[in-house]
Amino acid sequence: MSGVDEARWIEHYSALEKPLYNVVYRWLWDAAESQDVVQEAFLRCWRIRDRIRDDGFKALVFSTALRIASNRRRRKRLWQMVSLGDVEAALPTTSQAEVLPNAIREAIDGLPEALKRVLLLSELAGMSYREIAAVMRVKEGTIGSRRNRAIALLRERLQAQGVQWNDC
Amino acid sequence: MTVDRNRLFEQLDPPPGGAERFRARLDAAVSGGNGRRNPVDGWMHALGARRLGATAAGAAAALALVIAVVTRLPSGSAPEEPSDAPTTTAAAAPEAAASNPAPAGGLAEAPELDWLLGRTSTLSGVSVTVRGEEAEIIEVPSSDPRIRVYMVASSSGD
Repeated sequence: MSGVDEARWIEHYSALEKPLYNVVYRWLWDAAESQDVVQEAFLRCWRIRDRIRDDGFKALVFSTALRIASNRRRRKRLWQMVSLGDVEAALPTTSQAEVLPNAIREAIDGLPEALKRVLLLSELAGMSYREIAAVMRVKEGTIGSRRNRAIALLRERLQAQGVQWNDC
Repeated sequence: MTVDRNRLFEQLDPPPGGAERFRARLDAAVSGGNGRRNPVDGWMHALGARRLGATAAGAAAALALVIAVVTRLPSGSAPEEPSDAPTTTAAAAPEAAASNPAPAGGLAEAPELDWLLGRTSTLSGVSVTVRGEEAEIIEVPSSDPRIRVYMVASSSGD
């Protein structure tokens, strides 16, 4: 990405904002914070743009955003634990909280992190197995099985909450 | 309740004005040093982290050294007493052994261990001291030849 200017960088941002936002939102369940994470990831990548290869840019932005989101989520949970597990604070505060029912949120939230990443990157960001493998720095061959396991687990968790997943 | 795949993985719209806000943040980053980390700052930061690591490692090593010295001092600073000053008469009976402390030369030089260590026995007999005076002892017959039993004779009507 050497030689890329600000205008071009903002174009990249606009192109990837929505899929990236959707993945990060399923991590933090907070619209404003998710958008902030997306922007922070782009800013971090901007600082090292000279060292980014064109074909690795998307994977780098996604992995940076997921790392930031993961850290913020961990910090949030720790903070909630310290403040005696304030349930109210754990609930999303934005209007989009109602967009996805809590059952879906809890089912996605309960997935192991590695499976959740694969599922969200494939379903929400529309990434190929190769791209997901690049984001997660694992072999491409493991992505398919992880995705299948994630879907099976998600279906199980939804059913446990009385939600049927109509997969058509 | 039933959900389909589209609902489950619904594409939500990010809050409006994201691109404008990002442009402002990017401008701020660019005006504050072209958005790149100052190499001198980076170098100082790395040096600081390295120095902190080295200091922590040095402190840990110094602490380990102090602990090692302190724990070794008691045995190292107390030289062993010479064994040429026997203070008690050797005794094989438990009662006698209890009243006779181990020689200052160390446990290995105790005459009770002569047989075990293959030395010529220096045991000459058994003596018991009661209230500072040597008491008369009588050997009691034992059914086991390896065990000798002694009885302290009451000399003063105790």
